[in-house]
Amino acid sequence: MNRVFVTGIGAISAIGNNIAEQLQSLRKGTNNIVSAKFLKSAIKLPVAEIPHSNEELTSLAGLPGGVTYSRTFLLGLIAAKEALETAHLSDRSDLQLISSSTNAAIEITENIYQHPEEHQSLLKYFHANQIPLDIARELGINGRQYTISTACSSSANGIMLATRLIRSGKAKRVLVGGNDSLARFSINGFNALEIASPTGSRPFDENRDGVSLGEAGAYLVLESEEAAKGKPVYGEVRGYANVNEAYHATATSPEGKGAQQAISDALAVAHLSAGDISYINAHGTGTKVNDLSESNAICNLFGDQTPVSSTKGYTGHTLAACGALEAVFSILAIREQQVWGNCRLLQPMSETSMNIVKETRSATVNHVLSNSFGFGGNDTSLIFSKI
Amino acid sequence: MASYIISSALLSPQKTFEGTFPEEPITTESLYLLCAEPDYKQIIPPVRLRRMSHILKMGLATSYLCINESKVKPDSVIVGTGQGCTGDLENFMRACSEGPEELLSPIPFINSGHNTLAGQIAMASQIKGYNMTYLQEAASLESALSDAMLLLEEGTSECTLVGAIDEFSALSFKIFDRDQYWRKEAVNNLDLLKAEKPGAIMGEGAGFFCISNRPDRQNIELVASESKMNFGTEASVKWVTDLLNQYNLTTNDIDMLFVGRKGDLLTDDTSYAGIEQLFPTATIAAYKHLSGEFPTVQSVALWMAVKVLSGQQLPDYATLKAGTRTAKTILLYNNDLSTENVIIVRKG
Amino acid sequence: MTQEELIEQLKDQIIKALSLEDITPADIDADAPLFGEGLGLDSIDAIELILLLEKEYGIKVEDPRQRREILASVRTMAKFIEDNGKA
Repeated sequence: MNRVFVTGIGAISAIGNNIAEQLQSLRKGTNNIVSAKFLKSAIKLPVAEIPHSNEELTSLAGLPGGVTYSRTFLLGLIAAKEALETAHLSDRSDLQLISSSTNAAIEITENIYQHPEEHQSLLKYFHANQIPLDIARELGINGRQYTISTACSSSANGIMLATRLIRSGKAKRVLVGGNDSLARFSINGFNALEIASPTGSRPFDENRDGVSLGEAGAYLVLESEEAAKGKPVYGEVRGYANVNEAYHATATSPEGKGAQQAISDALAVAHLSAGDISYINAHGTGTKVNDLSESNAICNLFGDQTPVSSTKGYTGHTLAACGALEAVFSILAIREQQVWGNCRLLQPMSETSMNIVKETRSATVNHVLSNSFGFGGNDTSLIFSKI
Repeated sequence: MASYIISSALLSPQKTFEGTFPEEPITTESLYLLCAEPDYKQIIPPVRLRRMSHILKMGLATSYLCINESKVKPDSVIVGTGQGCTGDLENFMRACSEGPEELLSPIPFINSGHNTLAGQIAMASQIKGYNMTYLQEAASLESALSDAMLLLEEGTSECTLVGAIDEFSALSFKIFDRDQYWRKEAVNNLDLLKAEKPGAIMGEGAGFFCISNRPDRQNIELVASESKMNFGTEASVKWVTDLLNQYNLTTNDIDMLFVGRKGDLLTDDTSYAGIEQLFPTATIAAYKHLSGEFPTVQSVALWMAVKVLSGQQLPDYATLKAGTRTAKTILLYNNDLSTENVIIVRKG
Repeated sequence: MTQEELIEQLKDQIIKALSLEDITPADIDADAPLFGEGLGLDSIDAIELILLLEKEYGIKVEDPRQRREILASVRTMAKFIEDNGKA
């Protein structure tokens, strides 16, 4: 069985245009959950918006101006380029691509579906797989391509698939990640479900009142041990699991059965025990239900010692991108030997005895668990390890 | 380790829900074909049915049928859907535009999540293992099948339910009408493959398959499920030939070829003639005149191939060219201009 | 409108809003619990019922903690409308 190494990382979110900027924000703590500047919706809720117009993002992505691109595509391309650069991958002939977004380029299609004939150049975005194909084309990727859509666990599932493909010898190297931009569609959806926060998301806080949406692109390059020979390696993907809770369409069970199963299965794949985990990057969305059920699952398996935080207080909930974005943060925790603070936390929730990291601090980080849970009962856990 | 198809179910515009090739196909003069749907109330409990969109009903009903036919209960679910839950996606987009945004029902939003079907199947049949959804247009089914094969190989699963589904969408029909993608005038579907005009007719369908690491009596092996982005950089014929090599097969091993001819004057020959010539003695079968065109349509061909390998006769209405050999190894090839796909199945 | 008339009207609206196709107004006991054992409704239905009050009767339920009380049965919904609305 091949070992799977992380050789490249790239990300853009509300807390930075690239890895270096995001690292700085993770260290100093910032407040990025504020009123939207670019998102147009009657639902005025705080969000973690990337403070750049589409024109600015086009230029960040190194694309010529004067063309309208999907914001989701731009975020993906910016992150994917950085991941390939950090992995020093110039030969992309055997590179495979795994991508995800929640609803393709919904931020475009929701605005043009009524009068499509007036937007000929944007009609391609109605194709569900247009963004991954455009990213592949732009980056000269010719290998097999997969697109996963499992709501908020999408790109975590992408990393799991990439790892399985490399372990089994079906791929040598994979560019894997996700991209999602803010859209009227999603903010309305979360608002209609009554899980959007009116005050700004506070994961694991006693007074948490819901999700704040964010936007991001995040990609990783995973390579087999052999393909990565001689390269700097950020870490290893050691464990993974996906299960379905089969409980409710959008909510998790109070006791967090699905989460507990996913975590236990991932530990088993990694041949690790709960005590080996140095830091948990939780899904921690800031809803009453998710945070309670996730903390129950974590406490049942890890007790009250293992440091835990949700980074969604920094970035908002970036939906299909959050699995990859938080994988990048997990890898950075290993590289920097730091655990990230649970940004925006005021008063830790009373129902849990979980060891919540209040502020970013130094720590010995050997193995990181990252959780991502999606609607439809979809629970995924990943384990990243220091080499 | 080999993978075997131990049950299959297909909901399509033909009467395939009964599990055998219909004696006569349904014919209509139309621009699109819709599923010959069962009475969902007889199949899906009312408490689940009441909030379900069209695609969820199609998928859940077909999943029940497939699971019932399977000797082994699946422990994992993988769904491939080309365009996803477009019906309620459109409904929620429309609700957001029409507003007021403060007063929207969340149900179309929930149903617009493309993994809702896989989640509903898990809940309805209490399948708590691996649960995945590929949203990848014409490569969705092929990604789902190869993921299932990998799960079985790893030993993570003993039996995985794989579904392929797309629903008719008035919006997609309108949007993709550029580039002469659809026919402009209604056509009798049985005349479609004469390919006298540009464009295809749209369709919809749900195909489900239980894939197991142990064969049943029928012993139908799923050999390969491959897809390739088609940027026109590599010739299709070379790709298919290389794949055959990779699976230790030669062109002579293929007894039957399913092609994705869709009746389009502009692309049918360029997409398929070369591949057909690669297998000069094979039976050539077609299906898009029966189902219409949709991203996961190769599930229709896969269901037909499974029926042929189970001993049913390929009907004349699906035969483009009759070969002489009994079909033991069948290759499915589809080319939708952005993606090319190959599935290979054989009698073990 | 009397409370009984309001209850009948509400039953129709609930059946429609929640797509309870196989249920007739006569099947719904005005005093039986809507959630849990009664009609077996869940949290998504609760959201739909709150929307119904707002759309059909122009009444906004500001305090989420009030919900359990208001949505206990069709009769409690009717009472709430009488106390707060224009019906």
